[in-house]
Amino acid sequence: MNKWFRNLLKGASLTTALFIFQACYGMPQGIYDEREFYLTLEVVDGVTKAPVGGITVKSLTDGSGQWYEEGVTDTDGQIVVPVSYACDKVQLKFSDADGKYTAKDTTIVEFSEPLARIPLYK
Amino acid sequence: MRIPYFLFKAFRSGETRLHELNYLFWECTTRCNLHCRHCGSDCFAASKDVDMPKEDFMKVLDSIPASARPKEFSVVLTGGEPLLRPDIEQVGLGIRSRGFLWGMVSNGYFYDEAMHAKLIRAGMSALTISLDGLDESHDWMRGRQGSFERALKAISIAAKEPRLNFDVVTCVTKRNLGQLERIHDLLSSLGVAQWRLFTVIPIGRAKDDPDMHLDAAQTKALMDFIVGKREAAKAGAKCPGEKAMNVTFSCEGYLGSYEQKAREAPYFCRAGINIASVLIDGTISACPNIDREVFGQGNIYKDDFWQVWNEKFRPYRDRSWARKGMCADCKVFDRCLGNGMHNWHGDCSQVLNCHYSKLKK
Repeated sequence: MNKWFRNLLKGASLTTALFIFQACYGMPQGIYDEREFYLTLEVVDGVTKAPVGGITVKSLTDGSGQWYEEGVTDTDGQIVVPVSYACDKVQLKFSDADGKYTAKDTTIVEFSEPLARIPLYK
Repeated sequence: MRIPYFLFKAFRSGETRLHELNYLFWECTTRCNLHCRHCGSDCFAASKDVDMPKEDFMKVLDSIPASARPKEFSVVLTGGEPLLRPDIEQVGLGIRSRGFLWGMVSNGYFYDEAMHAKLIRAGMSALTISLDGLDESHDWMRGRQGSFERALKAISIAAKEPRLNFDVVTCVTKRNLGQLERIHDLLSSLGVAQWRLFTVIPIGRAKDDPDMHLDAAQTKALMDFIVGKREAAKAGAKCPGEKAMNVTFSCEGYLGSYEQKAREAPYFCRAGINIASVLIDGTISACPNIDREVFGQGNIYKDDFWQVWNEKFRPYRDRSWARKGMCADCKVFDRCLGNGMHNWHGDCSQVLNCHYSKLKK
């Protein structure tokens, strides 16, 4: 059986049961949702370009109007934010509990890159 | 529709030859808040093993070429109890942001509304919660009072979530066999769509506990129960708007005359064929309950995971070595291939559990 034939077989409804499995002590296979993707934000110092950890990030990524607290950036200045493709923009708030950096509000409308670099200034 | 055996055999050979990886366990902790009688891992609250840093596991995912990631590729967080990891949400986001689906097997003790919301947002799309009996029966099995109530709450939250492929799993023992009908009604009332039943393999804590293991008549009673529920569900499906719970036996074990009656597809142990694992110490294996000393294939701290997957795993992909002990002269060996890989431990001189021999009596 080559891969081409396997893919054909996989798509046939009568043979679907052959491809759906879960390990004896595992979970069912996940639900694939192509409407979502994951945007990595990297917070950097606006002057030195060094990553800034410990920055609190809040996001508004859907039409609910509810701001969601994503958490704080890690030592690489990064945090991952889930976004729905149904959404045409992501609104973000960045704040520094230590007060070293000025809080920032921004909106991202271009999702072609999975990584967005956000500069913060003191 | 029953699948003819000759077609299935050709399919199984093809799958083995291609060995597409699409189901990866990560034993992300061996710490556990419960003390289950049937635990194959012998997990404890204070495990001697340190949780693997998530970055080490992410490197494994990054080593899998983009061309070898089918969209249904699922990562399974298992343990121990995965929810004991404080970074579980970041772990999930890390997996999902790399394009993999993920889910977990949990005892449900820490699964409340807040945890549910966090994990769904982190991209969790599949979940299994264990329920091993009613009230004291579950608590007895799980070694902690109140664990039944906590599991039930978790189940009621997860069952309502349309973004989750969710099932409940029950380990059937002498103690809860008589409760199956009532557990079925309870789960149905909570809106659970899938219920999976399995039996205990005699390893870990369960090895010497006679309460854990079903005899031949009890194994048959379990199969009859499952088949009865499946047939009733099919009949019920003829009524508009009614959707019965899908009850199934887990993928372990060749079932003889119950094949394709107690579950959809014919028996096929996919360990090492579609399933791999990264264990707590970095060992590369297949399902975590397989003897890691005997069947471990490498270690992520020394070997390239993807190379190991492609070039090793020989005992998983050619099971002719299992033709020994009671399997040596078995007339259904070709269909069973020595039962699941998790049924071979230690010196592997004998299969630990044979469903077929119990069911043919």
